[in-house]
Amino acid sequence: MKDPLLGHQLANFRIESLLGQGGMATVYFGQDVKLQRPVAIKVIDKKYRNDPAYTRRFINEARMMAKWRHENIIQIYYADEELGFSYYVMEYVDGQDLSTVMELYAEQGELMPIEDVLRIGNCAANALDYAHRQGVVHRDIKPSNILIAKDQRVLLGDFGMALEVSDGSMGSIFGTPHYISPEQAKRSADAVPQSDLYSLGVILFEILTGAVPFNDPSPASIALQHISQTPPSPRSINPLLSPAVEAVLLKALEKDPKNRYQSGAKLMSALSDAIKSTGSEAKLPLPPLPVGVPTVRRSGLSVEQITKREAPLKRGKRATVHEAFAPMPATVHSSNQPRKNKGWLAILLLFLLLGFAGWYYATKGMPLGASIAAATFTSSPPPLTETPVLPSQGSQTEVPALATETPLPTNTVVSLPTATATSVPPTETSIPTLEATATPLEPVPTIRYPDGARYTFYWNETSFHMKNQVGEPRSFSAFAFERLDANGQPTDRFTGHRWENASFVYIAQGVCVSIKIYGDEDPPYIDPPDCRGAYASIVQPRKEQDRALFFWNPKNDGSTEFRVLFAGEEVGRCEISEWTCEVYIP
Amino acid sequence: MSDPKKPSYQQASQLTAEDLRTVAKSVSVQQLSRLSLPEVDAVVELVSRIVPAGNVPGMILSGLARLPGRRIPVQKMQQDIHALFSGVEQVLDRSVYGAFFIGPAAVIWGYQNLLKLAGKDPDAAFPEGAWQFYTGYALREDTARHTNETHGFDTVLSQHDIHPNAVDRLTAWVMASVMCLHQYHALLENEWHERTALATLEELSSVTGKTQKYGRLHREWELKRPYRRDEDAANHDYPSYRRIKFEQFLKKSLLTLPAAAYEAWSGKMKSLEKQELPAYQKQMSILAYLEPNAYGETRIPFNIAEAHIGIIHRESYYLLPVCEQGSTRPLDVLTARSQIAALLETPFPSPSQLSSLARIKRAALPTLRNKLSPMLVSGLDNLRYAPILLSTDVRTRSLPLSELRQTERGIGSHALTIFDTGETFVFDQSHIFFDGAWGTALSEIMTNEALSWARYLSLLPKPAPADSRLYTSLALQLQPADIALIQQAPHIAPEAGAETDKVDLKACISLRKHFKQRNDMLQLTINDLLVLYRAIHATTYKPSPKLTNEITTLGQTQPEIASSLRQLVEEASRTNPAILIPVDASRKVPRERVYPLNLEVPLHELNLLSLHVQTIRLLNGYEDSVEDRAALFSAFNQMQKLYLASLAGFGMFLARAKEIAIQGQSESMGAIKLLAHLPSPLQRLLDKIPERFELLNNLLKGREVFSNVGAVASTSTLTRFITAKDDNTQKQLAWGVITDSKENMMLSLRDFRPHVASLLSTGRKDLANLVVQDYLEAYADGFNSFIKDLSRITQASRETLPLSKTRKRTSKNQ
Repeated sequence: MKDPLLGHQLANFRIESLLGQGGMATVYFGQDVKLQRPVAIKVIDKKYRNDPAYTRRFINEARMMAKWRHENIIQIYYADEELGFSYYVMEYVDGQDLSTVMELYAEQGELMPIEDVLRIGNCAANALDYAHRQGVVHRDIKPSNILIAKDQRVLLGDFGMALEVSDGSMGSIFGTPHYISPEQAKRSADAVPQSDLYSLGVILFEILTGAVPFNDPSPASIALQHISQTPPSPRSINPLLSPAVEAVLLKALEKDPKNRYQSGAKLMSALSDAIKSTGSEAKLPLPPLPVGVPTVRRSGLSVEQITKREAPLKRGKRATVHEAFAPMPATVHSSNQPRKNKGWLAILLLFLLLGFAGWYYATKGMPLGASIAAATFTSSPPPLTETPVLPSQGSQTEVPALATETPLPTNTVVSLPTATATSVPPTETSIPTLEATATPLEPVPTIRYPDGARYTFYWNETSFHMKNQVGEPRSFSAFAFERLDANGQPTDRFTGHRWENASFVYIAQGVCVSIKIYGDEDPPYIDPPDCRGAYASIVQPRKEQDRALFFWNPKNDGSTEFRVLFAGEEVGRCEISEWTCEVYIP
Repeated sequence: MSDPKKPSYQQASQLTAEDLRTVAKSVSVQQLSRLSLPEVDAVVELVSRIVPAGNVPGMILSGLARLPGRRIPVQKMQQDIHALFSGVEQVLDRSVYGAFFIGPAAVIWGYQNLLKLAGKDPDAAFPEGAWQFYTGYALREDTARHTNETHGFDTVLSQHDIHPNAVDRLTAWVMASVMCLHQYHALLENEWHERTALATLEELSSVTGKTQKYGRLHREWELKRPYRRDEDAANHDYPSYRRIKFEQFLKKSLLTLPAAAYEAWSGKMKSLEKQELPAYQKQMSILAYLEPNAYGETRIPFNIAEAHIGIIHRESYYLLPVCEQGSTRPLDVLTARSQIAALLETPFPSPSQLSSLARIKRAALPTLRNKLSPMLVSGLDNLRYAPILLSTDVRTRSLPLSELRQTERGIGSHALTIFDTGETFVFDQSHIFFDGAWGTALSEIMTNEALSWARYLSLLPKPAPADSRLYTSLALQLQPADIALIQQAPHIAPEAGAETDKVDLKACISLRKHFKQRNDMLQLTINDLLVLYRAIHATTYKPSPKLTNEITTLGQTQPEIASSLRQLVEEASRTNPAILIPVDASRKVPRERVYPLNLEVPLHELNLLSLHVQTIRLLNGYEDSVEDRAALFSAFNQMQKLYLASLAGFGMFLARAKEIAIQGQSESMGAIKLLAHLPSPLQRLLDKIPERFELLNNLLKGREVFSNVGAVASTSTLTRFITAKDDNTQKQLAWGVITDSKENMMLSLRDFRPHVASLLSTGRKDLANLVVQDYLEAYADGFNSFIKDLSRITQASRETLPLSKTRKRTSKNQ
């Protein structure tokens, strides 16, 4: 139905098109017919027109803001009531809101350049400081309320929820949950100027890391997390941030408003200083160990994590060899039986090797656990192309002990890439990847690692989304997905390295990645609430050319499920018809 | 001493021309040559002027004419060039030779012209590219090594609270070096593959009309390419990790290629890989030593099984094999560690003094070698099999790199020396094996690999010394007779060096943004601005009062040196120097390596100095005035437009010149000629750009080197860089520029001007250093002011407030 206001004129302002619709008002694009300039016209929604409290607030907002003059606040030109419509007219900003800009960066798999982060942050902070000096708290600071004009001006808008602090209103509405301050989440009327700065802190956190600090499908749960949970370390999401930047972000997100920066200027000055000093303070990550050195196995965990990790039994003692080789718990899916048998075979073999190594090292006075790595490695050398720098025959006794506190591993064989150019156009499988090959095809229970990190998947016909719910950041390239045909054989395959980009190699806690079939939005892509604003990477394979990647789409081969692989190991299977599923990874 | 029997330079040149003309105009040569007679005359003139070698050029031309086909055997070419060198030396008097003859570039260039006369293909005569050939002839001395520094090893370990002991510190670097040698072919394959794949794709895309899209891939990959293994590389060594990353990067573009284009690309890659990759790997391999002869260096390759890592410990040299005994597998880390533990415990012999040999002219080494003590010669022969020398003798980081490297560093027959400063590692690289960009890349890669080894070693129990030794200690002590011989041998010119980080890069970046806002055509790069200001600095430099006082004081004891020094700093430097800018030529054809672009900044043609002064004066007038501001602004505005248009033109001139150099081919000049609104001097200047630069001609003309290796990647820990200079004594200044990951620009300057030798001979090294430091700092300070001025000029508009009002407003806000 056509909007009755379109084409009408209110005072000097002709309403031309709809710009957007909020919870309580509608915003139109129009023309000031006298001054011949474009304007935005905000009209109170019909359902609130008879609400005197709301109408008063609406008029208050206009009256209050019309008095202001600030380069970073949208200018109100006019306010009135006409034909039963309460409306005000404001500066039209030709540009995009910050939320859209951030999405564009996310789609490119990039983070915003630091100069822009500081510029936008400074403008928003200046606007907030100005509003606070006028005694007004915005109360709904979020990326979609920050507008970036085409000429790169940054403007803060929508003071719709603003409250004159002196009023002491008990307002019942609270801001967007992802950006809400703890005190607002408890009671809207408790909002103070520092509440806005908290929200600005969340925005900065999101721009600098690519993820919001708290996320959940339930808005109430997000609000609760803002009240009670410590925000995650920004550096755990973006390791390139310096400790100084992290400290600023965490101070901005302090639960107690008194412990935060007291003004926007102070927040931005601290952030700017921290960024300037980043070079000298940034902790650069250590590279992984050299290839082929005598270690137990190559897992996704770093050496520090392996060496510091508690023994599996968590009894405060090291796992014994028996404990480490204990068969899988009884909860294992029955279809795992063949694997268990193979596992026992492997265990038997390892016991034999262990016995040999135990004897060998006993004669040399080395601890038993220390010998296993060398024993397994020397018994099964890796392929030549991966020539390990192993101790020479004469110096095997010096093989060091590593990772004695970890359960003994299987000696995963890793496929190395071939990089020869072929005359066949590249497909997913013809391009080398950094992943390990899959383990033999055997169904495994969805919960293979109940203590592992939880990953949730959502999909419809045109899009697929993965979220790291709780867990350490994991490398994208360790993931792979395979559709299984009616015979249970893997077919269409998607490998996680496609999500890698210049800014993100890992999927951090609370962060999502997705696949959207390019050029096919019928049905539309789903937008899981769990993932909103928290995408690190979105890939868009083409419908026609990349069919082999759409592992979550049933084909005419009777397939009903796909399996999830992590570091080459199957960690779970998902029913395609379920539209959602979760797995736990080690 | 002048030899009365030998002809003057002019006479020698005339004699050569007469002889050469006779041969060139003979029937057989005329039939072969594709040149017209006037062209033949011009080439004959040229050759005889730059290679006055009597009847040798004529003999060579005659020999070339007798060879069938357009290609000539490499061996024949080497013999000819040798003969030309020898001819020049015999014909010219030594003093004339030293004063006028412009060195190897002249001979090689002369030879190329003889090839043209004989109708041969000059390109085919240099299968590894003219640059590679040139390095062996004219980038052979100790001054032809470039040096860079990384801090990542110590910084990252310390950030992760890992503090390796001396044994593990050295072991980490030994292992990084061992693996580097074992993986060197794979590293080179990546370099070749990345460049060739992208260049081929770009070339093919011209058919599909998407050249711009594929042209951008080079830059995109430059920003993305990893210099370290990240956590996802636990199962891959660096070369294979890099290859995988590149394939992933390339995949996106290949997927969008039409099938036919993909097939063409793939086919061409296969064929190039077969034909060119092995040759490139052979050309660039560091598994080779340099054998000096009278006129050049010969690269002698050896097998990995023969290779060693050289360790310099307390000024003594040790060799550790890079392979396990009796195999070609890499030396294992635990063996290396126990050997190093033993080596560091061993009582050390009396120190070697090879640093004095490193400063001998390479041309003199073959003769000198025959006279040195046999034990020393035997030690030097063994040392040749160490392509990488690692020094444990800690050097002070506060020294300029040019001085830091003046310690035990072999004798210059190897590729790379690594010094430890306790906080950083410094990589001293032969230009024959490395160009600036590849050298810095390898330093970065090695630093990260050493880090990886250090991380591993930190997990091991304490090291224990090996019972039996795999390493050997070299007897390189000089006997008194050796010392005397070395003292008498000809030495290279001494140098002084300076460094500064004073350049305000942020202001420069901001200026570029203002330029862009003002006009899209104002596209000067930071390097363009640096080069432009170098010319301004050369013509405007004034020594600081401190330096002036020092020279005055020197005058009391050394009046002659003081006088020449005063003349140098006050007058002689006031010329617009011909600047040699090395441009990366490997993008299109990896073997080409570098293209030296010779440039004389058109200060006078574009009247840039005067424009700058006038524009600033008018701006000051406008800002200071409170009356008649409209007229003042109009005057300023007119000058501002003219000045900025001239600067835009200078940027275009450089961009075009670089583009031609990079592409190595001529392209239409139409595009820039269309810019009819540019000032007429600029139009004339653009017309001067040749369609193909003459590599050797550029080398001959350049008077100083200006090498900018650019801004490093965000995770890089490169901090400093000094560039090399070729052996042409006319090149006296070498400017190096690098921008670190914190966006600090580090400038370095190596000074080989004659006063350095005079000051050093009188024990005034401090003054030689002060002269170069003063010169460099004046450059940096002046550059900052220049950028500030340009920013003011660019941003000034009608609304620019009078200065008095600005000041009031500022103070009010404070």
